Amino acid sequence: MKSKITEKPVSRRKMLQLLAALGITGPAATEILAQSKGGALSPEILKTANALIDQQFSDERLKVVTAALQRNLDQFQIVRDLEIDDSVEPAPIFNAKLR
Amino acid sequence: MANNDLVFQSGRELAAMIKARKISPVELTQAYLDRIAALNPKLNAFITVTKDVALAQAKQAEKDIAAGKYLGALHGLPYAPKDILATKGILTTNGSKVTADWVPNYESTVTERLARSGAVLLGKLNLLEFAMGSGTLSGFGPARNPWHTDYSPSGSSSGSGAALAAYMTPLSIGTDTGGSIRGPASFCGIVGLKQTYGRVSRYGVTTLAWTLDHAGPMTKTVADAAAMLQVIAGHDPRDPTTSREPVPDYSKALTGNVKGLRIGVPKTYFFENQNPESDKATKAAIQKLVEMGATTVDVDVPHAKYAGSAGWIVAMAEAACFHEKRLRQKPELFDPVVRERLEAAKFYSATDYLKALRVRSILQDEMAKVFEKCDVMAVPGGSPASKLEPPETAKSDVKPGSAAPAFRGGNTFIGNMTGYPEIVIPCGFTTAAPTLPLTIGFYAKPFDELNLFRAAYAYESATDWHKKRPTL
Repeated sequence: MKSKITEKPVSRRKMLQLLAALGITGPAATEILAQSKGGALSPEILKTANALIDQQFSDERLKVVTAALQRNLDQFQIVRDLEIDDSVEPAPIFNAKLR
Repeated sequence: MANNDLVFQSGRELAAMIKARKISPVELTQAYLDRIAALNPKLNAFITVTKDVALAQAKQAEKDIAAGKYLGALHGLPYAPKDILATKGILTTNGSKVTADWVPNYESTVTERLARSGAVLLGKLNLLEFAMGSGTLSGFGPARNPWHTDYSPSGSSSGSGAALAAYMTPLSIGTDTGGSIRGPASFCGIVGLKQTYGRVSRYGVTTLAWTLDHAGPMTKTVADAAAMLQVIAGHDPRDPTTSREPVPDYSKALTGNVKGLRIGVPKTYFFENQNPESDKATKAAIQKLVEMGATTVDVDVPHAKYAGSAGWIVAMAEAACFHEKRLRQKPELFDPVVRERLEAAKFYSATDYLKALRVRSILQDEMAKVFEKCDVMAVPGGSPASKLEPPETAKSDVKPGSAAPAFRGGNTFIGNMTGYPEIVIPCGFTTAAPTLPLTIGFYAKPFDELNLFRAAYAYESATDWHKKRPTL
């Protein structure tokens, strides 16, 4: 029987965990991440994405937003990684009648 | 009783004295105003003190009560709401330089109902900017924890927590989008109630996140929280998310009797990563209730660990949408942390938002299953207070060089994500210095605040944690 292998890119968060397990932290870890394809953001990427959100940020501001957004994406990764059954619909708001 | 001792009585005790005309609402209000004048420079709990309004309302209450027109448990009792509830003709800052001069021309439903019940407005309380600031760099500087003034009272209802713990007001209203009532209740050792979503109107409460926001009571005692909820609960045509579910008589839950009450104790998540003292105090409180006749049952919310991260997506996406115009027009006036969070949230995807809402569905189903087995679920209320963050590190959430952990959301965010109610009450103090309050939280099924009050009041009546006072 063949085993089913799902290839999934290593997330930035998981990459950092792996690096930490190897004793690589701080600026060294950040540098490795920057060189990896671990989904790290950059101000250039957000500058391009500015058009999508109809707002222009200065270069200086983009650096701040990039770091904050990267942090958020790391925090969300467990939600992105979560596999949810197709039957589960979004609950836009608490609805007592459905509870 | 000396006037300066009046402030140490509970709202219920004061109400009984007012009703019996043993004290006047005017002398009571003046006693609180004196205490605010003495302590606010140290604690920064109040942004605005409405002395003239308070004394005028107190005089009116005194006159009405003397004329036999007693309005009920809050008549003549002072209170102070978080400064994010609109008060007509009275400065409402949202704790932000962005709206530092805003004087609303309308009244929030909550403050309107409190005014109609005869409560006396002492002033408006400090908060983290727009209910999400850094606490240090928010518009009006940080409120301080009365137990140790270099410690945080938590947020975002920071002024409410501080003012109650310091006996600067007997009653307050906070708001809670991920734990902003229950966090300060925990750090400051007071009672905080986040009732069922839709039980209390959000009209006139400046939005943080439409689907997560609640305005609820913060008090010194459980009975006072019940009395406040009695007044502010109920349908409001100006808030379409409010429920038409009848409002029960909450005082009926204040019996002290927990015989047969089934307490769910979660097997995973809620007791994990807790401060050992919080864990121990919570378990001791559960044991106390068992000795009083309650029973325990194991329960589980398997996806609880996702509540924080999913909740953060929902909260910040909605907040970025709500503040879009202000963020474009006056970005430099925002607390740097608030600005950073809102600007980052502009880039969140609709897919992430909707996935978070699917997590909400899962959590709601799992919580519903919990309450098939128990009446209340007991959890640690939170960790002990932490020190106020210094200004130099309070400028950003980002700490370079390491990945942020998944946002845990404590034991509170799940209540906002699911709409389920929780009350947090004192259950001890840390044994290691500095001495800081510890709390237990009780969840119940939607619109079952009666069981929250039943469990919390019984425990409070059998202990005296809520009577301890900070040295100021």
